[in-house]
Amino acid sequence: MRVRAAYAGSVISFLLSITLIYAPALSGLAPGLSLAEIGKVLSQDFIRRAFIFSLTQASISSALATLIGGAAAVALTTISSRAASPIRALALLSFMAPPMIVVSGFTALYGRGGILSSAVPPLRALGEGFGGVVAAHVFYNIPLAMNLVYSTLVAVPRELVDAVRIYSGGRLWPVIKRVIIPYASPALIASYALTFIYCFASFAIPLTLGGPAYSTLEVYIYYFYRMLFDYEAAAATATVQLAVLAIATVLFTLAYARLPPPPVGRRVVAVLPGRKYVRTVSFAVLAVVAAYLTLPLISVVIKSFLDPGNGLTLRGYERVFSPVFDQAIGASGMRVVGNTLYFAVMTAVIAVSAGSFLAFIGGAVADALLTTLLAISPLTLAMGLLNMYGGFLPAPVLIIFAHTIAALPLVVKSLRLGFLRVGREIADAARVLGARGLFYFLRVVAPLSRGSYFVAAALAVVVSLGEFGATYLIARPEFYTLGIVIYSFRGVRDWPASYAASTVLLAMSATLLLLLSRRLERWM
Amino acid sequence: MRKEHVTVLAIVAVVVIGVVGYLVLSGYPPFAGGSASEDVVVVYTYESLLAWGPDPDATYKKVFEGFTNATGIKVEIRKFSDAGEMLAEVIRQVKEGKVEADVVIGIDNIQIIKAKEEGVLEPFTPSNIGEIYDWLVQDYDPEHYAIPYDYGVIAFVYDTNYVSPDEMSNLTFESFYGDLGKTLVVEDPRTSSTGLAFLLYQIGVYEKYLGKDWTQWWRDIKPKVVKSWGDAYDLFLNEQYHVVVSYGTDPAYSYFFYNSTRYGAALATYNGKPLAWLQIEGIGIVKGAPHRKAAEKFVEWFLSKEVQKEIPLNNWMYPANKNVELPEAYKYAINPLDVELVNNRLSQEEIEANLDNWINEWLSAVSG
Repeated sequence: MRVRAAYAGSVISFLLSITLIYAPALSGLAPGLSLAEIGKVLSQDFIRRAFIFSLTQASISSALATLIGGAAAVALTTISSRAASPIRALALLSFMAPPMIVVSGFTALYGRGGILSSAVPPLRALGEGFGGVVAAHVFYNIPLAMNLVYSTLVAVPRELVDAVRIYSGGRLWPVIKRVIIPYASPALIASYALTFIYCFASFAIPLTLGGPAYSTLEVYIYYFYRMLFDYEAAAATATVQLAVLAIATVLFTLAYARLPPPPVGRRVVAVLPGRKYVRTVSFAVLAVVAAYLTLPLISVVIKSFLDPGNGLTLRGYERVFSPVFDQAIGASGMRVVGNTLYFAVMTAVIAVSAGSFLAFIGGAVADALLTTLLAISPLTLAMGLLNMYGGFLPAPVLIIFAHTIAALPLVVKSLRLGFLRVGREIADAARVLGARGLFYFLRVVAPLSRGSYFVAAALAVVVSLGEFGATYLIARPEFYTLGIVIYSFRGVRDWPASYAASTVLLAMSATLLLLLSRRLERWM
Repeated sequence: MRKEHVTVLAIVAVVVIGVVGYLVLSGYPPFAGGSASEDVVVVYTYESLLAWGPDPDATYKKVFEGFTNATGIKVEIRKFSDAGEMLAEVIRQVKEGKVEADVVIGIDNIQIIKAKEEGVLEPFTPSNIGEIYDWLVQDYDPEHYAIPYDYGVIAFVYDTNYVSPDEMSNLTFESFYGDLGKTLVVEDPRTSSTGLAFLLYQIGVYEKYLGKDWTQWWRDIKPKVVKSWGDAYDLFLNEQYHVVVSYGTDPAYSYFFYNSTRYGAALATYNGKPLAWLQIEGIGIVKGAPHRKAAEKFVEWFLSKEVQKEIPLNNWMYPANKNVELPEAYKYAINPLDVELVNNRLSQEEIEANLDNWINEWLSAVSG
């Protein structure tokens, strides 16, 4: 019976992955899958430059994010897990923040006329161009490195730390060399690789902060597809991008496999010696990181109430919530808010349903699927969905598909953690009493992991709220989301409206994440 | 309530939200507001159209509500950050067979080539075409796929608080080597019609007058490139950059509003002779426009003297309608008829054949 369920699970997961992911991805890449097409795009000087830029900025951003995140993780171990939790919640918020909000944040803080850059002009370098792209990527990925490294450090056995400490006489370097580096290195490599993947295929950030001088391949996929209608060139560019992402994905998978299992309910071991200067430095590191992660978001909120040159205003919010057709959007603001919520709810429902299958009985097929997803960029997938289903499925359905796929990795991960926590004894008892297959899942596992269902649904909602690239490629104005109108308002330089849309979106994501922050901590 | 009931209710609720939400969003007739009758016309344009007068709202009302008052046809406007972006959207609509736009305002004399090539416009000869300068119509599109409504030359506009008029007299593109280049902001030719016109101006001067490789200038200067004219002008007015690629009428604007000659306009010269690129902006009807009759009426309205007299002080371009008198401030503007036009040496055919390559080469020159 169990074998049959597992078998059926694999089949369903396989079908799901074929229809939702592999087939569309292939259909998106197909027009460019020839040496001639790939040769043609690579013969363009600007594509080669975009390739080099993608590579350079991703390498630099990942190195910085991993270093700073790693340092922050070590610093976190010097304080109690209670004190660490607000910082981790904050980190989660910035990691999950929709990309357009991050763009708004960096513009508000470091851009021209920015809150900080007006006082300290050199900081303008973080608001646009190469520096802006890297700074925003670092913002996004510090939390990733911090949490990965932190969870490996939490798993360090207390005895080891004690032994090294006695042997080293309380000095710092031996602890770093013998404990932190060996334990954290798989996490550091994994977070470098994962950050690299995100940055290499980044879209919203280089699109807005980079401009034509600093465009990634993903930006050119959009340019070819939507502005030149050159589908072959778009697909060929996506293929080149995929090759690099695939290598990084393999690297990530290898490093990730070496990580210790997620530490559920472990007490934090103070890895570093409790010297005063260590505490001071740790505190300073955490303060700087916390400021770096919060200030852009706070600036967005402040700027949403500022009329450039004219004091305070609520005009931005009026425009976002207006029921009247908005000329910069092509639909009413209210409608956009409705779209955003509708897509989010539908994404949560579908992603959690499909995710349950993948998490419960997906097995190796699900693992392979989730790993492959890393290598397929949002625009590649969106092109694929359009090529394959665009002819007969309407845009809102495609958008929900794209959001669902984007949410699946997080959804499956959090559901799996929940299922793992259903005790062995309960599982065995249920089986003895005759609960099997679907019945066992619906009546035993699912109710017992209700908590992780909330987490999974919340994460799906947050992903959907923030998704930009795929939505932007697929949607027409009547299906725009808040993330996109942030960009539209930016285009017509209605800054209060752009920041107000960012603030509304931020409020939605932040509320969900903060409500669930205690549960989410275990998940990260 | 039993647990099963809750589950069933939850499933029903989700399905209902899904279906009803979908119907509402996809414009299922009972929920949709719009109609295909001729009492509405959907107009696409760029954000800054007619937005630069003493009272933009009043002008806007005069032009768009004025049309409704005169004809009973409502105008639904959609604004894009620049004309290039608007054209891309219209091409998309025509390709996908879901045309929503009736009229496009702001297709310039280069974009019209692409628009015709992509087959997104339908020829229409308005009854009042006799009021439009014939040389403009001939230069722009003798086949009437779109009709000119204004024109002007692209110029380097500078802030005299930072850049002296001496520096800008006898200007050449080479003058931007050095400090002047660091203060120059230009528009992306892929999204901005101003940027595209400027690119052709620069290519024309280099290839047809100087006989030099035009890409070198971009590689050496690497000016600041932004998405739209609005973005560029914002940077200029905020005093972040002091020379902006804009129009020869800007000094008239500065004089009209501030009674000052703070903002100057300069052209690149060749042997002491100013060279300019003439930009002509046109209005056209989209192929397969859902409200064709209303669209025709709107085009005629937009070309009529009533609307055209608003062009000089609100769009800061020369009106295409020959019956409109120019305001006094225009004595400070660069009149396209007084300068040598680079357009004359760069034919539409040559542009059509090379434009895609030029854009690619431009991208290579400014990137990385």
